[in-house]
Amino acid sequence: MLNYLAISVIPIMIFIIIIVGLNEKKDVYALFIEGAMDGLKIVYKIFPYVLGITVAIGLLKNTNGLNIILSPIIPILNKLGVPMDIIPLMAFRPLSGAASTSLVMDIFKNSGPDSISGKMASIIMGGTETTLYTITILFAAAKTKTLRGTLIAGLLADIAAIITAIILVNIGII
Amino acid sequence: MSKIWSCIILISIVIAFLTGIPEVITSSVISESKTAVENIINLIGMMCFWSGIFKIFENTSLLDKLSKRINKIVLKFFDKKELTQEAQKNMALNITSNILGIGNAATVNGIKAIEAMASVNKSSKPSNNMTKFVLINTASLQLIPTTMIALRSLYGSTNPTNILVPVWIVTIVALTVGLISISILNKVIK
Repeated sequence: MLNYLAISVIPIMIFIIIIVGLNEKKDVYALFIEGAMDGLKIVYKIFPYVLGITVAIGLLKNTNGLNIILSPIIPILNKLGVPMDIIPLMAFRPLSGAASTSLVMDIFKNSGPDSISGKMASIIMGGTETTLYTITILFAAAKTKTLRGTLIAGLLADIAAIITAIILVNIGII
Repeated sequence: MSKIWSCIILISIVIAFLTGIPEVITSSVISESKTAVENIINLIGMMCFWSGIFKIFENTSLLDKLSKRINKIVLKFFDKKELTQEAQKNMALNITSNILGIGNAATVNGIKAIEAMASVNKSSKPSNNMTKFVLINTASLQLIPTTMIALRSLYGSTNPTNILVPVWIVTIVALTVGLISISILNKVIK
């Protein structure tokens, strides 16, 4: 039941948006094209970031650097049910949206989206935001001098989200 | 970010030399750049499609109607005396856009909302309302993570939408932890 709801959500959403648009006599197609153009600009803008992070993380992986750096904590993480390829994502998620997107695509490509790490990556990405970026732009707009507790609270929330995602996959909820 | 990025690359190169495989660096630069291009090409189509659909949505009256309803719930978390009409309206639009996954609209309204809050804030430090509002924005309120679902199906997932319920659970946990933390920290860090 829940699963049927989940697979129906996207088609229904597209359906409603177009119906309401037509009903309100909007130029639906022109709006779609305008929005798609914005999307293209976003992809254009994030490519250099994706390139930078993909190459950097790739170098660390291919030279075995990731294993060497993490070697003291690998046994602990394995016991806790955290796959290796999730670790860079955990570190980058609050820092950069483009970087974490490229890490997720890497995990999907290498292990598949339905693998343990693929599922964890999907849930972590879907359930968290780029905390640092959000804080930066909003406080920049407010022109305040300090952040008070926001960064700490935001990161605590991210840690809670990541731990929950790992637990949910390990207990086999999906 | 600059330091982290530089560190990763420099450490990799040092490790490559220490373990006697400097050629791995050269070949990795080529292969990983190619991976980056493949990944971004996979992203282009659906990114544009969803931006297009959400553009239609932004221009309908649905967004306004929804945000009025959401306003009532959201305001409970804030100190209403300090919120101007302008701040309330933009806050509701920001949170509604976040829930629906319209990132661009959420950013614009979020900036307007915090500017309105800042204009009545006498201190150079953010008010409790401002820290709470920013914290809510750092949580992923998005009900349907369309990008993730699309990416999953693109890479051959047999059930791309089965992440929905776990994502909601994670969001609720993160938001609860975040709101409790900020309430405590607001008292500790003045």
